[in-house]
Amino acid sequence: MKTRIIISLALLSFLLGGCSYYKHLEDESEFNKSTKGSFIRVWVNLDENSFETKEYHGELIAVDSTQLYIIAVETEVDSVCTALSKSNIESFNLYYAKPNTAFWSIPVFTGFTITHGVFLIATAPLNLLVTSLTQGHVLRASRSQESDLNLDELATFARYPRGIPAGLTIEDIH
Amino acid sequence: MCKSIMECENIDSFTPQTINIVTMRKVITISILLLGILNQSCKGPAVPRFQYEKAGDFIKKTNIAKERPDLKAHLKGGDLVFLFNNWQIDTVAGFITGEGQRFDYNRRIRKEGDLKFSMDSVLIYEMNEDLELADGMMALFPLAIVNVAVTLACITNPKACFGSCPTFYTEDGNVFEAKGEGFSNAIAPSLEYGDVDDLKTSTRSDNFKIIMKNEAQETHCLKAVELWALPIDDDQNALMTRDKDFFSSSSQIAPISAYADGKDVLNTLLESDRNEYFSAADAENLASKEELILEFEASELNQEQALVLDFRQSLMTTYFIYSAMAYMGDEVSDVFAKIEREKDLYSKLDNGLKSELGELEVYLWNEELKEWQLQGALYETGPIAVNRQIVPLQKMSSSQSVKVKLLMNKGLWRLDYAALAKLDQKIEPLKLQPSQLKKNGSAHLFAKQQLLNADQHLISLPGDFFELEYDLPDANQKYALHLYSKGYYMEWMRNEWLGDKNLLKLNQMMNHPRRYLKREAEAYKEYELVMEEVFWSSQIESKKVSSYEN
Repeated sequence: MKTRIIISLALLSFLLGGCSYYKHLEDESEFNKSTKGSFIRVWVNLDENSFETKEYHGELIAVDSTQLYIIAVETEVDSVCTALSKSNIESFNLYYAKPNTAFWSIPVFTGFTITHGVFLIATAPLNLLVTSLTQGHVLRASRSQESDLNLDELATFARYPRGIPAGLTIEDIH
Repeated sequence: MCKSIMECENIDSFTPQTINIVTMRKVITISILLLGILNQSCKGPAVPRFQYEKAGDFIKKTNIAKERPDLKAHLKGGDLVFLFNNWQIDTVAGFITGEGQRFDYNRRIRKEGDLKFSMDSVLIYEMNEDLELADGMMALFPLAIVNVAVTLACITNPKACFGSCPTFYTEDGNVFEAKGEGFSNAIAPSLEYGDVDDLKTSTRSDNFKIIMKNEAQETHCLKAVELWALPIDDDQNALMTRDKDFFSSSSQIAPISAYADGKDVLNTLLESDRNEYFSAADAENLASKEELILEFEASELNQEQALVLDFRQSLMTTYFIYSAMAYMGDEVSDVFAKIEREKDLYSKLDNGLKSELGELEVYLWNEELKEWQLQGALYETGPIAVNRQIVPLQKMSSSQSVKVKLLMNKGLWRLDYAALAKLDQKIEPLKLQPSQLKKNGSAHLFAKQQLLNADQHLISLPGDFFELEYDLPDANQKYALHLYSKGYYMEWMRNEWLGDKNLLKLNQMMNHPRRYLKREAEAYKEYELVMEEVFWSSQIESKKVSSYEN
């Protein structure tokens, strides 16, 4: 029982981990007006002999033939633009806007089945499943990952779609 | 590509039968897993971002567009110019003009207002359409509709969802309506008793059919199911007192006023139409009482008269029964065994909570003494079938209007109809045993013998339905029909109740009911709120079932 709870909590925290980035995302209606690159999370494998990956996240600055550039958005001081070798990138999630999730619907809809009497046995799990599936789908439909786009296609959503402008170094970019 | 949820996961396979097998705990784990899998699988959105290296490409597009979109121009040095949709392009001179903002390579605003820049300085043009992401609420509307429909079905027929005791139906053409609930208080063998329900139906035929169903998670043990036929004249009804005395009645008059806590509720009591008067329970004390004052024009009535009342209980008593069983937890069988052995425990159960909640007391106003005088009281457990009973009233002079007061527990009673009836004469019912019995559609001699044998019980399990046919002695005689049922039932323990075991609370409920009713008020109000609010917010006026007064 204890193990099951721990596994469930771990899964849930893994899943909802993405929600902490919502604050960096703009509303869907602002997508057209955005002047910066999209928010991206990138997992990089720095050691070929290990399965361990390191996560980088922030604004997508540019993509060129060998590297991908991002600026972390969470640091208080001026962020530094980081260049990541494309060959080391294991996976990524590109977020376009805040997803229209309604996670509250999972406990509310499931809890509502208390009014279904004995049918709660069927309707509670059904509600839990459908609301979970729906919100999972909505969450997924708000971003792209390596199975949707290749690294070169990411350039469309970068601050500089044609790469770092000539005359600029990554130290100049904030 | 995942176009819908259904394509990602086949939720059709989760039928109620399979879900019954899967425990809630497993379903939670599965849901979290599915949520995680979905989050990682399927395909992302089609994002409407369009970039052009040559101005000619997007000019073609803007010419066919109904509305000119905003334009972003990524300049060679890293700057970005954002122009609102009033931009102009001069391909001859090679300039783009318009109102907007120019940002530097770090996206700090460099200039705002009317802007003009050379097309040669542009690296790439960008024009986007509105992004439309999946909406988490839209997909839930069908589920919400199903949920509300199930809730409404449960409220209009709580027995199907919440159970209690055998339900009896009469067959009126193709329409079946719950007409009676048998022995709702008999939740253990030692509590067995006989109950009479007014079917509010009359017949002039040689036989009559009753449908008896077990629609709950209970085992019903029936000692007798008799049709009591009362011979009456064409213009008469048969009315029953709580003590099972029957009277023929040829006239009833409606009240001219009805007030509950100063509010006019007359409209709810004029017809037996399930447009009921109902008040919410007191949030501080579930034993709080309320008064409803009725007034009748009594000029035509100066003989034996009685108050006729159609009434049933709210779900409050069902809540207490279920709560009691949940408090018993895995010791439920021990407690019930104790009830069987110790009569004292039974009287505590019967009188403790019940005496605090009280009965539906009927008072008559005595104009000479200027006081309310108790005439009698009504009590029937059960939230489904509407009971019709009478309380005989003292004779009044014809010049007086008749004022009746109902004193009752707040939130416990639903009143559908009130009238003042003239009682013609006392009558005796013909007590008829079933001549035919079908169980689940087939004639069943063994079940019939069980029901007719005074030493045996007919056992009815969840889902069973019985068709009982009764032969009436005279097809030319009009009979008003009542139903007598005797037996007891065993409520099935639910898995989900086991976790709520609380013997201290059970002790409080049985031995200190007054305290219990105060402390349980908050929890009950939450339950009551869900049950009532959903119903009223989705009510259709023409099918109004009950009236809610806060």
